[in-house]
Amino acid sequence: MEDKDIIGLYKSGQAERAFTFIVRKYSERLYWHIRQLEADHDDADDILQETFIKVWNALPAFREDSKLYTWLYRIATNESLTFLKRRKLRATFTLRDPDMDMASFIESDPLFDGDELQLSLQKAIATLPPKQKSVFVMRYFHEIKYEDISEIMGISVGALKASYHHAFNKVQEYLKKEGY
Amino acid sequence: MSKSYMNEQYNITDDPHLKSNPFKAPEGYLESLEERILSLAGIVQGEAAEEVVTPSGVWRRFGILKPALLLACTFGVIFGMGYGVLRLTGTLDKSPNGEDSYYAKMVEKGLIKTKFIDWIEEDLEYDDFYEEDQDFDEEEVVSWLATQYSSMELAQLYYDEK
Repeated sequence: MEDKDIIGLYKSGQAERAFTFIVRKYSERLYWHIRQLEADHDDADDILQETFIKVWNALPAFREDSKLYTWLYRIATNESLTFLKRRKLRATFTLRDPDMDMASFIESDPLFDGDELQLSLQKAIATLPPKQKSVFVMRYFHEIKYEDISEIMGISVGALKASYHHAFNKVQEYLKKEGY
Repeated sequence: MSKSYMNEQYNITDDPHLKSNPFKAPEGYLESLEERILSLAGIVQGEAAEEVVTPSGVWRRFGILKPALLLACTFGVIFGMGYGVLRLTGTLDKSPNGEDSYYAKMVEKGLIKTKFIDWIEEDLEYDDFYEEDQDFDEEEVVSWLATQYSSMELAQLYYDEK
């Protein structure tokens, strides 16, 4: 079902049906988006649930100024960024390095199915600041257009391109140090 | 791609394999994802519906008070059971040394009402006393006064009245 048809359903008073179609169409995509930002499955699941509760509550306020899918990605990304900030804050108080924590977590995660190179790439991504990480993941893995990422992140296309460029170079540099 | 045959700097954009998803979801997770999220939204919807169905919010307030009421009921039941056991074993009527307690003695003397019928009887006696058509025999009044007061007191009352 097209996004405009889902919105049409919602406008005709069939909120539950519209929400069901949104969940059917986007839950898996959003899960993978969140999972690539936040490698842990349990955390990703929590963030996804929070995301859909917010979507359900905010649906009456949805204006068609933005596309449905960028609106959904914005909520999911904001939830993930809030979670990442909170974790970073917690790590500061416990004097731990959250990037190292994440890298060692991915290494021992039984749900990580990648090879050595993919592991190095994930470790490199874990070192990026949260917003840069979001831009990199959306552009590199999901190949979302800059214009849409701009809508999702609320950042200008120019600033996004610069951010992606920085992130890309950092990842390349990390892989070079790893011997690739 | 192995590290060994890397002569030039590796470029991540040249390797489509890197863009593939290296993560797995737990078995059955994605299949049940839609259902779980919808049931979660169902809870939210239920709460929203409650607001509409109960404009006075009486049921909502009842929902808030429910734990307190439940606690009060639990205390009531526990107290009732304890009281029942004490009544059945007769512990209430006996002091620790086996004698009748002060309370039991008072009940026996009729100074403490323990049964509903006692209260009714008391009301009936009270009503009888104030019956308008109650006749007093003169002899009865004199004999009653004689038992209650001494002749000196009666003389004093008579003098005060004058």
